[in-house]
Amino acid sequence: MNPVKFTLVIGLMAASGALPDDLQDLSERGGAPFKPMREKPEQLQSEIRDRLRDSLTLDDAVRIAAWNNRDIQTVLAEMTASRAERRIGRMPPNPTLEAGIRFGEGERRADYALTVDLSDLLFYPLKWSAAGAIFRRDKMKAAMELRGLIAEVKTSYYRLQAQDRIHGLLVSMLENAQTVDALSERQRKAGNISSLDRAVQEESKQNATLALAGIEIELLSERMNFARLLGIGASETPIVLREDSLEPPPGDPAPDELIRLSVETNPEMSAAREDIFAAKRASTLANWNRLPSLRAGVALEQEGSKSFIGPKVDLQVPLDFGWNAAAKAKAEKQAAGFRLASIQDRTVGDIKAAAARLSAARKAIRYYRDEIIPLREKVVEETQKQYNFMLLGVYQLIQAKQNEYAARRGLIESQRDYWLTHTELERISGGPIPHSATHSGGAQ
Amino acid sequence: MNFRNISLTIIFSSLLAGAAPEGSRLPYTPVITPNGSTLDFTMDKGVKVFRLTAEVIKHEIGPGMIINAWGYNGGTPGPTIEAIEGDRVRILVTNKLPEPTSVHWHGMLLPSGMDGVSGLSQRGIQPGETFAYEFTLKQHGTLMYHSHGDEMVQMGMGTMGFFIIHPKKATHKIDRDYALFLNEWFIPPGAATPNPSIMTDFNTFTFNSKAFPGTAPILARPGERIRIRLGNVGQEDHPIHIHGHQFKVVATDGGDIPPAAQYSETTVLVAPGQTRDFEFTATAGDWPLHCHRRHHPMNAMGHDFPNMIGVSQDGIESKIRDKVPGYMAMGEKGMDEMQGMGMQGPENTLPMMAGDGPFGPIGMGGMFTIVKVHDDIPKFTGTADYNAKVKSPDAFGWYKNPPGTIADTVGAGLSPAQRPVPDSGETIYTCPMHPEVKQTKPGNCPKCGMKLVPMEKEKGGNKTHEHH
Ligand SMILES: [Cu+2]
Repeated sequence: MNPVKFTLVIGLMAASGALPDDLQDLSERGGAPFKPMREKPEQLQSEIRDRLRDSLTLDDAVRIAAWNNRDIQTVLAEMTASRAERRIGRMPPNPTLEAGIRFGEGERRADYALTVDLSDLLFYPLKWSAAGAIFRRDKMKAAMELRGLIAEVKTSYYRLQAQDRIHGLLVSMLENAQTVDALSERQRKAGNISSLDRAVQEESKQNATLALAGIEIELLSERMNFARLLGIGASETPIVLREDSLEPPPGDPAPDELIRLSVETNPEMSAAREDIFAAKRASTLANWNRLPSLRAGVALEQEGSKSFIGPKVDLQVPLDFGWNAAAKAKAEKQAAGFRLASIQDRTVGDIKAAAARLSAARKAIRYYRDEIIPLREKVVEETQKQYNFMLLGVYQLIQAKQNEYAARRGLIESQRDYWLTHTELERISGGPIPHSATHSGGAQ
Repeated sequence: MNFRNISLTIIFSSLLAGAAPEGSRLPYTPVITPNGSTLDFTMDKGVKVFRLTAEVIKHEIGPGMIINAWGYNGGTPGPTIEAIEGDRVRILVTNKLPEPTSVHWHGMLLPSGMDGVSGLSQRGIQPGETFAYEFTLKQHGTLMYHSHGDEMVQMGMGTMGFFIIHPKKATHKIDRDYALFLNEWFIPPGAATPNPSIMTDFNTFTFNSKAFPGTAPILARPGERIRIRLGNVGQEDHPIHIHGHQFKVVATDGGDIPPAAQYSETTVLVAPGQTRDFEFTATAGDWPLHCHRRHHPMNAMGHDFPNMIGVSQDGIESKIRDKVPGYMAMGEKGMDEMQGMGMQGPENTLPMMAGDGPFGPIGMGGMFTIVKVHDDIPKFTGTADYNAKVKSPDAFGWYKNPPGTIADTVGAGLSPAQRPVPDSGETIYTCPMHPEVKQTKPGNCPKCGMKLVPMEKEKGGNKTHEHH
């Protein structure tokens, strides 16, 4: 366990009381802190309302989703069922008690037998172990679903952050377009321009209005999606995000390190390994257990005052000696192995592709921040100087500013792309990307 | 290189060579080329030998604006050549330009092989070569010389000058004789190299390659007979106009105009390839001499600058300033307000309108200079002497108008600048953009929101100018 995760878990235990071992593990592997099940819903809701009163950070959002998201609650409930399933799977075989009594000719006969299924008993440790593996697999699948849900929360959070800022830029751009429009209207009224020039200027305002309307719709639907992910109804307090910096960390994770990390912690791979484990147990069972049923025990027969006692064996006469069952178990074991290999291949490919996208997004950020934006600012500055000497007009000056805003939008979009890819990478590699796995890559 | 240094060097070297210096010993009134120089010569067995070097130069075309030009002997225009009808002259031309050149003696009657047209009358002078042109001057008048190799480029970069031939015997006395070369350039705002491929949309107009307020004045005393020689090898024709005088055009590049054919006028059109000499008797005052094409006595402006005349920017200006903090609304009441706002323009660019007079901003540029006719103007022995005595374009101050001869509001005997401002001890704050806004407390302009600045207190009498 790396120090970051360790701290997280310790912190969680301190904050919300100890979780059952399984849940704690799930919490860690799912990448989100859960509330203990016993917590009363009213208490939870009041705590969530408290948090919503301030502007939300990403951690807040993840935390609230972990406590409150309906799908996450479903997964947690299913885990409880799975835990009961494991207890069922681990029960030893029940003995059978048979009794019979018969009357005739003034006499009474009674039979008693106590038997147990020998093969069940013999292979009980194997079944016990397989039930554990199946539970662990279910838990990993739950963890995987949780990771997916947490990734959705983060994705939505970053989208909102970016859309909010782009919205601000588009408001400024519309204000500029409105200024141009008002100025050209006055020029027209003063008799200085034709209705053609006037119409051209007016069109730019309409375009800016449309662009703003577009982002407003996106923002609205993303806000609704975010509220749903946090399990908060539309009528609740409106969610306000804290304006976090979208600048990337100093370095990007190295793909090889992420691949190594995913082998250790990716729940999908862990689940596939548990599948293999369970299938191996099932296969061993099928190989050894060639009789359909072999029960053995003791039988007591009473006839009048006489008693007979002796062993009893109850054997189903097999028509096949478990060949088919063994073949099936063997095939299933192989399938589980292929499944793991396939998951590994896919994960490695996905990590490499996402790491390349991450690096591209970082380059785009640097390009916008260090090249395009300063250049567009310089154009505004120089246009201003030429405007001062009446070499260029006010419309060219405003257009230069609009171009600067467009570059700022480009920066925000590339920052957003960076974090969306980062989230995706976190989900695929199966854990929060530790700082030890980052390398500067010379891209900063 | 500074042209004054060149002239001093020339004077010094000509003294050593035993040639006649400028001034009294000359059989003619020497021509003054304001902002320019006069080329000296040495004698070689009865031949006047002049030396011209075509070269790449840095030239200050207006205050603080340095351009990458091509010229002769360190300047544009090149030094004025002066000689007398009948002289045998030899001109040694060295080419230090990066490409071949040749020099055409514009208007000169000479052997075809001395006409200076690359390819046609001679082979081009290769970089590093020196060619000799030699001919006898068979005429008198105001002629010119200019490059005739890749001439669109070389003339567009400044390779031109005067060639003035005095008559053997003057018909009448001239007190002062000036020469002004007309030219136009396209120098992209913020850049330094003229673009010689521009055909029509020039943005810098010059007298002797200087744009106002960089143009040196024409100086005279009242009653003196003045000749002004104009030459043009540019792309446009220029109607040159003088205030307060009538003049007669007395000569063209073809020679003297008989007195019977001369007539009084106030504007003379000088087309490309022409020279015109006009004469007048100086009247006391400060008088503009300028091209009368409206854009020519003006420095660079954007010709697609939106027309804002009569368009109020109230309420809009502050919105633009929210986004572009340095923005100021301009043009509503014309462009006069642009002057004196002190706003920063692009580097190496002259403001469209500039220059300060005794009563406020003059607001001109380009082909504009001032004919100063004052009692205290000294005699000049030549261009070098003129350059030594005229240190800046506003040398010799301003004409002292006799009382009651200055236009003003009805009943006011004094001009606004001369009117004393009662000093209440209070500071008045005003808006740099809206001078009508005045208040006794600091604050922001109610019209545009700009910070108000304290008004400069004026003393009685002429406004003082401290920015030179
Ligand atoms: Cu002109």
